Amino acid sequence: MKGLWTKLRRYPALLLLMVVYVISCGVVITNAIRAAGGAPGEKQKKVLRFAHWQLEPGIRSAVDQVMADYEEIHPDVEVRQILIPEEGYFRWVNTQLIGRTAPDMIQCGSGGVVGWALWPKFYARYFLALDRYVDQPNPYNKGTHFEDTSWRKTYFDEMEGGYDESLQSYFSVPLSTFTVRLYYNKDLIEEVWGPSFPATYLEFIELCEELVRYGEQAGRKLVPIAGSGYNFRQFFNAYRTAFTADYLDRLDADYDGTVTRVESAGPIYSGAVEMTEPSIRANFELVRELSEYFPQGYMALDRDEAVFLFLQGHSAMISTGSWDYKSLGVQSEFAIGVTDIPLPSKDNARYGRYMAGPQTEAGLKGGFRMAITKVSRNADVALDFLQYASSLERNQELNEAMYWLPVIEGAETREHLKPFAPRIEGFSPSIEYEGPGAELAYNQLLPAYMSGKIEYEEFAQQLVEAYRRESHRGVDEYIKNNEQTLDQQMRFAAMRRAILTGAKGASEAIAGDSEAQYKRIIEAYVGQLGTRNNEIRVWTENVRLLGHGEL
Amino acid sequence: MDARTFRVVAAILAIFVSCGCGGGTPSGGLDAALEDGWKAFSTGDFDFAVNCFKIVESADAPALEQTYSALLGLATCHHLRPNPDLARARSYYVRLAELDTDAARAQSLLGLGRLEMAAGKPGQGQSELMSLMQDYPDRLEASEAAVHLADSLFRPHGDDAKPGEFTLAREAAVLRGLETLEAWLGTHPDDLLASAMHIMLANKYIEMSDFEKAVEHLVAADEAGIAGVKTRSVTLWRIARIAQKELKDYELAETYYARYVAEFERTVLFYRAAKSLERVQALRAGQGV
Amino acid sequence: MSRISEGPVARVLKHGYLWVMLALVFMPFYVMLVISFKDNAQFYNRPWVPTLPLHWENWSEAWNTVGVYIANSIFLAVTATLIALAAAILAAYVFGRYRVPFGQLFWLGLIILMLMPGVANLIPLFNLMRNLNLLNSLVGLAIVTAAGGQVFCLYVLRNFIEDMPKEFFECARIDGASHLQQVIHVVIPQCGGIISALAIMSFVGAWNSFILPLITIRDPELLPLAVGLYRLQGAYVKQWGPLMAAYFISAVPLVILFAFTMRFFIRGISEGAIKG
Repeated sequence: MKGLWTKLRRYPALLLLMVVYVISCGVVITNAIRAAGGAPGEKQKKVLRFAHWQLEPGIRSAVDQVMADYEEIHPDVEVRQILIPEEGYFRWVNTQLIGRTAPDMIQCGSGGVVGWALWPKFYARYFLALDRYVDQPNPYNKGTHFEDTSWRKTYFDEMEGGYDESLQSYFSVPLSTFTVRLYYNKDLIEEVWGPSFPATYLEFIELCEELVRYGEQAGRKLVPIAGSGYNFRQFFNAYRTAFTADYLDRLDADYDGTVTRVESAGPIYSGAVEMTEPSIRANFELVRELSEYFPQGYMALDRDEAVFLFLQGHSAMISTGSWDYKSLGVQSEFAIGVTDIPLPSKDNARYGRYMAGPQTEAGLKGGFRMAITKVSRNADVALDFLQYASSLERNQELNEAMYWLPVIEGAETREHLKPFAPRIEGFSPSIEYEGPGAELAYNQLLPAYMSGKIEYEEFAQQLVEAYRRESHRGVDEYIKNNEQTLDQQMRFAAMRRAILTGAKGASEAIAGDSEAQYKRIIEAYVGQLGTRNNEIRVWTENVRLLGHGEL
Repeated sequence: MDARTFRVVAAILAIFVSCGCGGGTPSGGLDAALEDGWKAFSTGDFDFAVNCFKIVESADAPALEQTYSALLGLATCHHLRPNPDLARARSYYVRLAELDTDAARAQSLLGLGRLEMAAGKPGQGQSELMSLMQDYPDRLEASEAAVHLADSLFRPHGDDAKPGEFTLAREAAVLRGLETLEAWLGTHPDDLLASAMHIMLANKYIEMSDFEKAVEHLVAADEAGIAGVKTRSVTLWRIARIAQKELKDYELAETYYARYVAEFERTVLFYRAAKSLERVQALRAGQGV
Repeated sequence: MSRISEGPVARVLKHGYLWVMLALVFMPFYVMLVISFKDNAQFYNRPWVPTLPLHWENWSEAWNTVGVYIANSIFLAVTATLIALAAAILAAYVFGRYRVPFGQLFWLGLIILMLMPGVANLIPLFNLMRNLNLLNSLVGLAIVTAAGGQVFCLYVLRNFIEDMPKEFFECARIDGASHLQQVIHVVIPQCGGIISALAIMSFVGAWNSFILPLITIRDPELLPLAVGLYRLQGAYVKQWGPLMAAYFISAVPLVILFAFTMRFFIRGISEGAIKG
């Protein structure tokens, strides 16, 4: 022993390493015991894991508080958060689901276009359907006016946010909701412009000019709006809806109240709708006019960099969602105001005649949606926890702490968040410029036009050329992709039909009223068949129109 | 290899076998295997589902209802999974028909009809569906067969060699599809799928610009009772919109816009519906109604 | 020529160049240190220079966050290194000393494993780990990391053992040494330098491993440092002060390791240079 010690003393690094290794082993073993449900020596607890990507300041502590409150009334349960950055969240969820190591509750919905297509597949395969619970009252609403109301009906959107249309089932429990507004540096605007924010679009442009002048006089670069590749889309969509709401009557061939990508792409392809039409042109020109007040190369900036500009006082305004209210407030050294993205009024000489109105938020659905995984060993406890978090009182407390908008009808919203209340008046987007197959060209041409590298005529001409080059393949793929949803619906219909015809074991395998579900699935199925047939007809007619030169 | 080494290798192999292969076998009796199979089917785990159904299918003397469930499960798995195995599905559907129950024969005909269509034999598929509708007119499968039959007649066809080029359904086929559905609804006005069939007819009449018939069927769908909330909201909107824009029937438009506004405040079309309601009311007032 | 190179101008240039290089090397450390004492408002307003008040609490927050990650990384790296070296030394002894049937084939098989990019194996490896119930487990991760790392160790060690004089082993055998005793008393002392170098390389490799823990570890309390820091820096609104303090803390173990083991590393590498 003494000999070993003498040897080790000659190698202090080895000695140090051994000591820290022993300590690390202790930490690892303790954590392994805790992961299994409780500290050494304590009674075994049920551990619930709750994964999400909301890493903004204040969210973690607010969720921690709800967990602590829940653990107080359920001492045999321990709830833990797993925080994953949004950029890698979808991939992480994917691997956890495939690896069957997914946590009990997972926030759903990230992943962009790929995620949008894959989440229904994930729901069907890896998550519990909640249909049998949503029509029962939430037990944590006992003693409130929702005592006898079904859980679903306590939501402002009747829990639509947790409903998957393609699967005709409820899969997730929303806990908050969000809207997008324009944030501004109140102190700076007051100094440059005055106590109230500009009321009209023209005044807004004047304010931007004033801010540029103010920056030049002060000898510093002041960018009026902290635009970025991320929030450019929010700006653009607000104006797209305002300028093109009237296209609904022209393009909605099946009268279902929405204009699909093919219903837009067909007429743009054939020239039945020209990109040089005044309202479309005005749409792009106004956004370009505004983007003069964005930072140089803003399309390459990400969300973080735009926030950085705003918080440093190098920008006076930023467009982002209610989810940022607290984090911007905590980090800024100036007062922050919130307003709507300004639209030209009807009497605006240049744009007024094309203006329909703002984009509606009436269809707003619940967000921050949590779904329960099938691999959860404590799915019943996870459901109970989500019912707790979505009860009237707790949902209000949780959202008050996060500075977010609650989802339960009648839950009070913080006074500061009133400007984020959803706008019922307004229109939905009625044209889609990114037709199937032309997405790449559009996303290359748009920055070129916005940065002034090409003029509008060239932009429009090149875009239409791209449509004529790429749309055949794009529409074909789009139609084939949509067929997959039809196949998925048929699987669910077959399952329900098996139950209705007495196939043994089937009724135990899936919850819900099979007759109603079967009817609902077939209704949705024929609706989608109608949409597909209509899209193919619209597309074929437009191909014929162009081929015959009938325009 | 000495005995000690052999024991070590055997132990390692045992660990691999127990860890790697243990997860793929269902446990419990035949009913439990069927439940596991249908659960796996509902989650898209088709290989596991097939294993479960095969256990029941190859059991010594399963009860009739167990065999029905297993054969239906096997046929459905092979038919509806991604990359389907149509030959196997067909063989299970055929075996299903050999069971002496109406449910089994009806399911078999429906499955075979759809399968033949997927295999590129629409004529054969349609005849299977029609015989199902004739032989079992009061069964659920027959109602669904009517939907699939009409779909096969309305469906445009793509050309794999020329992406983006489609051939629309021939007029005769479309008329046959319309007749099939209308005849079925005439004899089965209270069918569970009546709303879906009316919507299907309305979609086709809109494509044909026969808006009066389209609205007639949409109203019938609404009256038959639509289970899906979104489908219901879209149906009310379509009736109102077509009545206003195409039929100039402002009274009908007003009725349905009013219902839309009352029932669907939380949809993106709410504001448009409210504005349109005001407009049609003004138009009706202008007409002196 | 020599007069110019030794002149005062050349000396200034030489030293100036060295100072500039040194400044560039230390710049990230300076930035980390300065920002680690700021809150976000201070960081947004004056990122490059120290500002008052100093936020010492960032360091305690950082330690609370990365302390567990460091412990996990030490456990992972040491365990993986021990397993990899143990397996590689024994295998290298066999390959280096004995001709076994199909030995060359086995050897080529191992070399092909080394040439294969790790990412290409990721999906089968993930499935294997899932089937062996090794997902979300540090021990499982250590085993897989060791399995990947030992191939390179084996490749290097085999050449060393082959080049060792046969007489060493013959003497040991005459003295009645078993195979294991030959490894312990002959191979390890003779290859001490290169084993140290391989140990350091394995340790650093496991310490920096990212992709595998990223996809196989679920619980935050089991994350090694690289993935833990990635999750911290991936936050949308970053808390720059604690983040930089965490970076600083996480750099310390490797700095200590290199400070103590630099001579072994250099010795191992230079032995390789002579023998190779």
